[in-house]
Amino acid sequence: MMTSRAVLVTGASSGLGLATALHLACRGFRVLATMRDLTRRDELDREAARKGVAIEVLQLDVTDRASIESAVSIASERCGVLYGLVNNAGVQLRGYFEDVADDEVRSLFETNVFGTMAVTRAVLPQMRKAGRGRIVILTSIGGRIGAPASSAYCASKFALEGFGESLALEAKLVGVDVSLVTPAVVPTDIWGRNRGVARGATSPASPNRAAYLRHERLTDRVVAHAATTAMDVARAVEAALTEKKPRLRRVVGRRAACLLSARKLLPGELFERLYAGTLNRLARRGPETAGA
Amino acid sequence: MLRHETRSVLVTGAGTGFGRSTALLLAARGFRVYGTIEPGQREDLEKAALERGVTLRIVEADVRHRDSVASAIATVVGESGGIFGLVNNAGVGIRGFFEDLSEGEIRRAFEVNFFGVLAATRAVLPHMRAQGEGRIVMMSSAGGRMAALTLSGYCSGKFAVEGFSESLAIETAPFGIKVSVIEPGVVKTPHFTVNRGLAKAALDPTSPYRVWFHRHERMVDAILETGRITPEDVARTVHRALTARRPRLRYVVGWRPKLLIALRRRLPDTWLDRAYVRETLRLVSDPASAEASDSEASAFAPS
Repeated sequence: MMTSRAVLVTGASSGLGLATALHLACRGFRVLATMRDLTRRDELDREAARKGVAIEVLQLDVTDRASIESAVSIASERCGVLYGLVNNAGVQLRGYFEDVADDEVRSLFETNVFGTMAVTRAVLPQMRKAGRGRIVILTSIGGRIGAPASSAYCASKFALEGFGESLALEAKLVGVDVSLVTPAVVPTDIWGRNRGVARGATSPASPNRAAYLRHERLTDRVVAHAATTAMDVARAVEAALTEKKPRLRRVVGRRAACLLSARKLLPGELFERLYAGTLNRLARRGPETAGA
Repeated sequence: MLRHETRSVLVTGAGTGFGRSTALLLAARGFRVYGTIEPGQREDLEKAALERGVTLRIVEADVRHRDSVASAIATVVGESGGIFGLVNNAGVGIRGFFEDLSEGEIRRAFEVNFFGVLAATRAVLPHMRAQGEGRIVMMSSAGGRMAALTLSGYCSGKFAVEGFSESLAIETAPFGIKVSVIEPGVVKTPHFTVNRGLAKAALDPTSPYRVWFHRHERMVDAILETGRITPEDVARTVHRALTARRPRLRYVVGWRPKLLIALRRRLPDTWLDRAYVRETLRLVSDPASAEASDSEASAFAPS
């Protein structure tokens, strides 16, 4: 029997990372599920036991170089060369740009951008030497289209789109495939516990407060009616890891795909004008009670 | 509304390249222009302004330091009674295959190309909001729409500016503040010569990517030599973004990036991505270009 291919998943304690780790394990991959805080491993352990699969859990904080090196070296000792890396760990930050502090943006970039780069940097040499490997980067529809109250988050996800595209060209030369998986809105902890509301976002002194609160209500409605599940994203990651010729980009969720298609089809910048106009009109109406 | 003759614009990184051409052109067309420079660039810029017969207000400032940018903007507002435009032009290059880029090199590029943009934007917004009008122009790059080989550290920063700008444009529209992004292709400026930003390890003969890197650098040199866009074209585009009644969100400068970006924007992702990856790899693996370049580094690589 072929030894199962080892895949390291970051941010596997909840949400898309957890669903991906479980799904890959069910599909026969040897999964190294990593997370910043091992005390949050219970849900993953419980689900793995329920599904009857074994998942190895390692501590890895993408913002801590030493923890990355230690996790990657443990993974290599146990499994040899990693077959796949799923860069999933990510955080959110919500608030109108004027209300978001510099340190909040930087801390977001540490995880979403520099963290992804650091883990990739730690894993790429072994894949290059082996002449094979798959690197999957989870971005977001916010990495393709900007949105109010998430300028820093969108910037970080756009950055990953640019990074991933560049890396895909480079890595292909040494036999490594890179894929960007771009999920629509999926109801996970990122819209609850990990929403990352900026300190100044709801400040009574903010000129954007009313618009922000209305926009968040609107966002909550979108989250509540989201048709895309974490499982859909996990399947897309599996496809990126198993397809013979993996696609560079894969959008998960019909509404996100429709939005992107609308932008492709509408002439000039008509899409941008309609999109901005609609969002701003909605942000001027209705009560200011925030959700979440 | 500010009267036209008092419309002041701050251009960051006005010492060289696009920033310098933009500052001079805007001044020639009647704006009250402030340009931030690095130490040592003043004399040269003053001479250029004199030759052109325009007045530039030169401020030494460093976008990497929040206080430095904020104080430059306070100067503009203090002297002019407001600030109509901000041109976030300052930027640096970083070239090398990702494995050859150190974390520090990428972070240094982000400090200028991304965090510097945020710092300047943050400092002008309250003034523009109070005025009820303003224009913020970002100097992005075609590399902010299509990422290229050897540019993971650069394109990621420019993509970030694109995402930031799209979001910001929606947030600031109700206040009369318009955001535009300029996306020039490859233009021969100091950005590609003295400031090319070659990563240290990319020049290391033991780099596993050495051959491809040098070939690719030669390809870029060839494009630089045949390119017809000038910094003046970019400056005129910035002027359009500052003066159009309804400025576009994006302006691509140059036919090559216009074509490529239009294809990306209009074609299904999969088609364009596959063709783009295939074509890039074909070019960089081409034995003809290999012969010319395997032994030689780019004309701009230090020997």
